[in-house]
Amino acid sequence: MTNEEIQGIFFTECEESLAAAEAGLAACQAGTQDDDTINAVFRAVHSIKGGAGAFGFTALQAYTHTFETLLSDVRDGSVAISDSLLELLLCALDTLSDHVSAARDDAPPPEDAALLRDLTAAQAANAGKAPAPAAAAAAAAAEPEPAPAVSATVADDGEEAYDPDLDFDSLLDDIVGTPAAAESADGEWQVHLRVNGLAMMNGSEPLALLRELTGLGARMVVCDTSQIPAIDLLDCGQGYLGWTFAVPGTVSEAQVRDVFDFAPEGWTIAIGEGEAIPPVSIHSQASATAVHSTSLVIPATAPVAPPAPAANTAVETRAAEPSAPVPVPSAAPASAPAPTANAAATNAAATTGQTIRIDLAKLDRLIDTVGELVIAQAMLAQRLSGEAGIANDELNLLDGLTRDIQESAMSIRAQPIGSVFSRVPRILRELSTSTGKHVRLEVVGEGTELDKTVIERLGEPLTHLIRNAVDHGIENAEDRLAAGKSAEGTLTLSAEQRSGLILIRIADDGAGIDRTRVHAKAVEKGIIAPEANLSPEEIDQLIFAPGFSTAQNVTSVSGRGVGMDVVRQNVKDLGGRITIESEAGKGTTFTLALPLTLAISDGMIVTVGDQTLVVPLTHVVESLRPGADDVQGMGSSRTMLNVRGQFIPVISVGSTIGEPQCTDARSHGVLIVVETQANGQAALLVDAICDQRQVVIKSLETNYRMVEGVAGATILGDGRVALILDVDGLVDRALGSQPILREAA
Amino acid sequence: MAHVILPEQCNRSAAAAVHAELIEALGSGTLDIDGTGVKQAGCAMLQVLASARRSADSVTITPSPALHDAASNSGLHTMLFDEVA
Repeated sequence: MTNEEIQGIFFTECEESLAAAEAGLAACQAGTQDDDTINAVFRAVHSIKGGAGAFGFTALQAYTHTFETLLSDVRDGSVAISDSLLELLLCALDTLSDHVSAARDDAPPPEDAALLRDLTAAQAANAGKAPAPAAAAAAAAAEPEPAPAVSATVADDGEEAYDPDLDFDSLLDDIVGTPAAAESADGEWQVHLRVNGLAMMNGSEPLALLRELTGLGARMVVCDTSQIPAIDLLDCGQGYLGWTFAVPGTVSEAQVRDVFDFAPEGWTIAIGEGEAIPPVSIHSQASATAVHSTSLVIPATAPVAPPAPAANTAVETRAAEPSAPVPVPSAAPASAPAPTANAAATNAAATTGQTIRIDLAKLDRLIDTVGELVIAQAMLAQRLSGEAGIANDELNLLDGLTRDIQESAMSIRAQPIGSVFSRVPRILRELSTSTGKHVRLEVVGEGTELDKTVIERLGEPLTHLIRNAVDHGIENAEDRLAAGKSAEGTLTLSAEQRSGLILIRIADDGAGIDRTRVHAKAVEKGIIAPEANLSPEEIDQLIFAPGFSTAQNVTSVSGRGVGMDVVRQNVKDLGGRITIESEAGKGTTFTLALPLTLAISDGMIVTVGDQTLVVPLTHVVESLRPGADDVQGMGSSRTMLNVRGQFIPVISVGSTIGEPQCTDARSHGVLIVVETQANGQAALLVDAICDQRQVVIKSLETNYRMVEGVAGATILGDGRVALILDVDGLVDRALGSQPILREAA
Repeated sequence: MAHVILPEQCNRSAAAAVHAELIEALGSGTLDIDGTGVKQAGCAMLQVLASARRSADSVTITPSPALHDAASNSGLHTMLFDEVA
């Protein structure tokens, strides 16, 4: 694995950590402020810090350290959780996200000096809990540098990317003091570490973790170099070093283990004075290594007691028998202050992981192959269906298994929509700053799963819709109060699965669409004729017209007139539809109906002349065989269908796609009423409906080229290729009119 | 006397390159390792340097502040450099 690949994993994990921290802080805001929630936030930030140190992202590491220190105080209870603190933490999280982006894009780190000052000021040492006067005086004498100045130093030094050791350690010393110096020897306990080959192989830097340990106040007692072989036997990918650290009694085992969270598989850890540095775990050549018995005993520089005799004994024993495993005492001394004295290898935790990262390309290949399998199974079933003596049970079994495999494969790509929703709080915070509108977010159904590709492409339209909801939908606090509403607006995001579709709703409790203004604007922009008589729903649709914007001024939030038509196009590209419900004074709800996946679609199989076509079920409202009076001519070439009193245009699919053999006798054909994005309902005239089934979508664009009116292709059970209709495009083309300006019934 | 100059970034890939160089250089007797230009040093490089020092008596390493600090932080400075910690 290359360094770039490993860094890629780190940044993916950063995204996950940021989302976890965001979720944790949101839970805190909602009132869930238990230890687990706080710990989750701390660990998320800590995890980013660990990786940042390992990859040498100095600015990110320095920033996360200050952030983490405050979170640590919150976790310990020395800083109380308040609304203002949560706002500060959320703000810090936003900047952390920017830091991660900067590190990933190799861009300059964001300006964080002021925020670092705020974070430092909020720490227990400065505000959360005032030190006792005597202690404060002692601390002041020992540490003349005030903490806020240190933060500025961090920001200044952030650009000197090369030497994290000096900056970071001095930063740690300055901010948290030297805990070891403040501790009595009585409370100390020991942690024994062995770095192994994995820590050297996976891109993490063991020294960064040692620095973190030192930052906690731990003091190196022993560095075991006995396992380092001669140069010609050395394997650069192996770890040969081991250490014993004396840890202050104020530092818990969990804090020490947290340090190694980022690369747990690379370290073996034993805790307690009765333990020893774990044995080296390397391949066979290590046993042939000529090992020199030269354990280094580090001179104690901190004013604490020298290493415990037990530790020295253990080191000497191992030095004399370098290749033999170190015996582990069965019981720890009673005086050992460590929380638990039993040796615990973190490797065990690593092997019990329940997830695996898979290259998306491999997954796509699997999905493609499964798609082929589905087609092959359908072809086999169709070919054998006419044969006598065929055991249908086996065919049915094969059919069921194929569908199971297909569903399992698709579920691998499914992700909860919460990953998209989790970005929304930040958007709202930014909007709150730029518009002055405070908006409360309610989220429902964030666990709803849909295809990863859909998820990835959903972010942009969702952001547009949310910005529009806050900028145009939700009123100013004064207007809201005057209208008898709460000063704070509410934005509700919900997701649910229904009939093979995912419905995502973005609802605000704002003023609703001002249809008079929208109509006037559309006339002004030349989108509709001044005399056009449109229904409220049709006026609502106008906001999706290209170039339409009612914003008085172009702001950083919205008003460029490129938003909503892009949203509609994005949703259409995803094979979905967007609809609006708006009520004056009550608010507006946008509903996105999206397919579960872009790879498979439920379709109605129809015939037109010699052609077999697929109409995506997402568009189908109903199908009917019209009576002679139901279809009426209108003008020279238009025909309309009377559906329970409402007239909708009839479109002959055969004529539109150039299939001459299709039926034109309306009473003999079948009409499929479809819902379209820009033209409302229309009736597609086809010869017959054959079937309704799942089809595996093949991209026409990838394999041939884009064809107007065709969304893709699929392979039917008889091996023939069937085109999947692009219903929106087909209706647009057939009506040949501007969207919106359709005939009213 | 053989002379090996350490790169600015002494990460794992650099350690592998220097390792091969040191094996060759150690065959020619006295070895002077110039680490004055090192700006960042990782565990892999420190192990290589420690191994070189262990393998021959006549290996001298001149560190940069960054290399010295990395060695100190990992407890290897007394093994790597001819000085009193």
